[in-house]
Parts: sequence; C-alpha cells; structure tokens
Amino acid sequence: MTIRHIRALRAMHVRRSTWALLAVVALLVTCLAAGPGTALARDREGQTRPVGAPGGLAATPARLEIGVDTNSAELAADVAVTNRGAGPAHVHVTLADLIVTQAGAYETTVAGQTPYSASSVATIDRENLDLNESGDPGATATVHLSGNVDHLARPLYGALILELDDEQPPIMDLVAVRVAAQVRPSIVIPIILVPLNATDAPATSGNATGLTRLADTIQLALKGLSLAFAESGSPGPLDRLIPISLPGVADHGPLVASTSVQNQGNAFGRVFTKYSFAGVNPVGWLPESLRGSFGSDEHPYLEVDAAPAALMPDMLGETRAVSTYATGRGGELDSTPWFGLVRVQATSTLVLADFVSQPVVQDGYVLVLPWKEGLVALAAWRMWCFWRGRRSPGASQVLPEPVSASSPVSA
Amino acid sequence: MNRKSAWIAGTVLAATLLGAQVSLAATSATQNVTFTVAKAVAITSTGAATISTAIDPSSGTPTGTTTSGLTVSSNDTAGFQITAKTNAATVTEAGTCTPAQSANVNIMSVSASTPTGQSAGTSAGTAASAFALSTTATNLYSAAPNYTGGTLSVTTNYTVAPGYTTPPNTSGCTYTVPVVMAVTAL
Repeated sequence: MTIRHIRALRAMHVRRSTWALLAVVALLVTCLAAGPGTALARDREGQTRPVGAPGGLAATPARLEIGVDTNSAELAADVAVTNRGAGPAHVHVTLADLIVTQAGAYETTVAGQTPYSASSVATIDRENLDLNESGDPGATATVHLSGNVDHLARPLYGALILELDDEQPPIMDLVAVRVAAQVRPSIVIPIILVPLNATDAPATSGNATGLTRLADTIQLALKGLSLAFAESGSPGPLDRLIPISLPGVADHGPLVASTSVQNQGNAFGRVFTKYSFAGVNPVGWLPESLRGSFGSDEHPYLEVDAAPAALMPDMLGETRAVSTYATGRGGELDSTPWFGLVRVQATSTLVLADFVSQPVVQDGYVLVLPWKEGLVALAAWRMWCFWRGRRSPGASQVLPEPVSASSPVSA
Repeated sequence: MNRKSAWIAGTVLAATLLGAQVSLAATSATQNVTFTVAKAVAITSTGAATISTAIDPSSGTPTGTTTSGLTVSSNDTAGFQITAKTNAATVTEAGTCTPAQSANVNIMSVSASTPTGQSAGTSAGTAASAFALSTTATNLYSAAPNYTGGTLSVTTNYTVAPGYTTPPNTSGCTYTVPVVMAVTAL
C-alpha cells in the first residue's frame, strides 16, 4: 500500500471500529487462500522443479543365460554395475524371482515364491553398492552370482534387480500443493539356468550348438495361433471421415502384422519371429517352370525381425512388425505398395539359451486397396455431374431439331 | 645380336625370379584376435518433474501433466523394453505436515515416446497407450524397439487425475509417487 493510498484512506475519516472489521476480513481471506484443505491452492512460482537429481546406472551382461552341464557343480557369474550419474550413487541389488505377465512384461517378485526360482540354488555376494561418480574408477562394482547346481534337472529362472536409491530428499515447496513423479532408474537382468547334456548327439527338441544339447527333460515347442494385419500409424483425415475397416483389406500402409503363438513346451523361451512381406505375383498360380518364363518370380520386398516375446510354458504371446524402414535419420519409410495383394509370412521359433525349437510358419494375405480415396473420388465426381446438370438445365432446349428428309432445308 | 638378346632375356628372367623369392620371403603373418562382447544396457533419468500447478478436480482441466526424460543405452540387437511400476499401491504425503494424507498411485498415468538418437537398428517400436501406474510392471512399448546406441532419448509423460477420491493435500506437503523405470534387454 503506498503512502498516497494511506493518505487517501485517512481522508475518508473512517471510524476505528470499521478499520478493525476490515483487518479481520483481510486476515480471513489470507488464511483461506493459503490454508490447508486447498488442493486448489495456486502455485506461486509456476515453475517445474526437479524432485530427484539426475542419475542412472549401467549393467553388463544384460542377460544371464547359463548352460549347466551334468558335470558342473558350481555356478559362477559376474555382473558389472556402473554409476552413470554425476554424483555418488547407492545401488540396491536384489535377487528375485522372474515372472512374465500376460502382457509380456518381465516382472519380479520376492525370491522363493515360484517353483522354478533360481534363488533356490543361487545367491549374490552383496546387496548394496556404493558407487562413486561417473568417470571415477570407483564408479563400477561387481556383483557375483554363485551357487550349487549339482544335478540340475530342470530350468530355473530368476532376475537380478539393480535399483538406484534416491538419496537426495525431494525438494519441497512449503506453500504450494503438488504431485510429483520421482523416477527411480532400474535394470532387470533375467537369469536363466538351463540344464544341458554333454553329448554331440542331436536332441529330440531344440538344435544343439557345439557339443551340448538341452537336457532330455526340456521340450521346446511352439504353436502358431493366428496372423493378423492392421494399418499402422495415426489415422489420416480420410480414416476419420470413414472410420470403417474391411477385414483383409488395408486402405494404405504402413501395415502392422502381429502373430499370436503359444509356448507348448515345458520351459521358458523367447519367441523370435521373422516377417516377410511380398507382393503376390498375378501369375503365381502357374507352375514354377511357366512362372519363371514370365520372369516374375515372387520375392519379398521387406523382411523384419520382430522384437522377441518372452513366454513361460503354456503362455500365449504376440510378436509384431511394421512394414517400414528406418531411414537412419530418425524417420521411417513405408514400404507398402499403393495397390496389390501382399503376402505376409511369419516364421517363429522358441529360443532358450541359443537352443532353437522347430520353426512355425504362418501365412496370410492382405489386399492393399485405397478404397476410401476411391469412394471420395466417386462422390466428388457424382457431385460434379449433379452440379453441371443443375447449372445448365435448358441445355437440351438449345440443341438443334433433328433434320428430316422432307424438310425444306434438306431440299 | 641374338646372343645379346638372349643375354638380356636371361638377366630379366633371373631378376624376376630373384624378386619373386624376395617377395616370398616377406610373407605376412596373420593373428586372429578372438573376443566377445557382452550384452549391456543402461538407463539414466534426466530428472523427475513436479506438476507445478495444483490440480482442481472441479475445474475444466482436472488433470495435471508433466514430462521427464530417460537416456537408454543398449547394444542388444534383439531390442529392449522399459517397464514402469510403483512399489506400493498408495503413497503418503511427504513434507512437513500433520496428519499426512494418502493417495492411490493409480491416479497417475504414464506413457513414453519412441526412442531417438540411435546408432543402428530398424525399428523404433510402438509406444503403448498411457496406462495407470500400479505395482505390476507394465511395458511402455507395445512393440519393443530394437535400436542400439549409447544415448537413446526417451521422453516420459505423466498425467495425474486425482478426481474427488484423492484427499486434498495438507499444507506444506506433496504426493510424491516413486516410479520405477526398469530397462531390460530382450
């Protein structure tokens, strides 16, 4: 309040009791504005404040798939953990059980909860790591995994969780009311212990690499369930105008192909799928010798290796691939033809510690037809015809009369 | 003349044979260096963020949004996946207030952008739709990216919709939701 305002108020000759009433009202308003119970209180700074200091960590190896042959009795593996933050970090290390959710995410639970827990045979040598700042020699430490795996008859699974503790308390504003997301970087390292047989004879299921094969108790088997297609990417104006999709028909690319599979073996595995996109040859129905004479054999125009899906026994899973190329500059280039029948072949295998199941091949066809554009063009043409018809309604009246043979003109 | 030509030809032949011998004497040795590269992943948070304006459930915008960032490193050509979860279903206010209120963490939804800054790889993956936080790890990508590189940038988006079931904050306190962002090599 400025001196000029005060002088003006004095000039009003207000009584003392009125001044007191005004002061009480002002105090109440102030308390209501900043008091508790106001999730609606307004932020005075209007800025975004950091809640946790930037930090991170690195780990190698990122997966532990350890083959245990019948002669092995001891298990040993090291994981190097490195601080990526600018300040010292405390990393909490946990050996947990591994679960795969129905959505295909790696999830962990307390050790010893699952019947296939790797923690039943393995332990880690430390649960806390104090790491120096990034770049310092003390920024890296090693976690040693060890255990007794004598007579391991079935695969065991687990996970090593590396979680960065937040040592710095959140910065609080004691006036404003806020909701904050406190990010905790973490790394989950799957641990797979696989019993092997030390022989070079081929296994009944799974192809051995080297002189070992999967133990006879392990079966790797995969069943293909479906192969589906859809248009990928955000819908365009025409897709919003005509929000209909026809089965087996794509209006435009990019196409996204998804394969549904089921793990029918008795062990965990990762499903790797290679998608092959090819334009269907119009004379593909002819015998191969005749087809070759036309010089138009069918060749895939795109092959994509999809990211693997983790599957526990009996689980259903899905892999998917998009018909785009990465340009290397952050962009993507669609490879789908504008028109034609596209054949998609998906070859899936179940992989456990470099052992591969019999492939499952699924085929599907999708017709790429810009029918929405065609509908719009047809509608535009009809409207144009209608508009022309209305614009010149008397056009037929100005046409000359047909000339008859008996008319005087012809004479 | 013929004798002279024969002499020159013989000299040239001798010089050629001598050169060949010298060439054979200077053979190179080949050493095979065998090495293996382990799969490695890293994740770094570029700092969490606070929703700076208090959320009014009765207003026209009863939600608050903010963004943060992750930097991921991966050399696994099979790809990587990032999951998000919280360690507890509820969160108690943090700060200097008594009594402290509790809120369900599912008022916060999370999503992520596809990574950029790759060195190699063919697919940026497909970002999953935003989902409510829970104690179950949920994939941030419906199709995992197979990009590799040392500094893959990912933007994370947080949306908070407290509704009328979340108690208003006590003065001086904040609902701080710990979000565990875990990276896994596929």
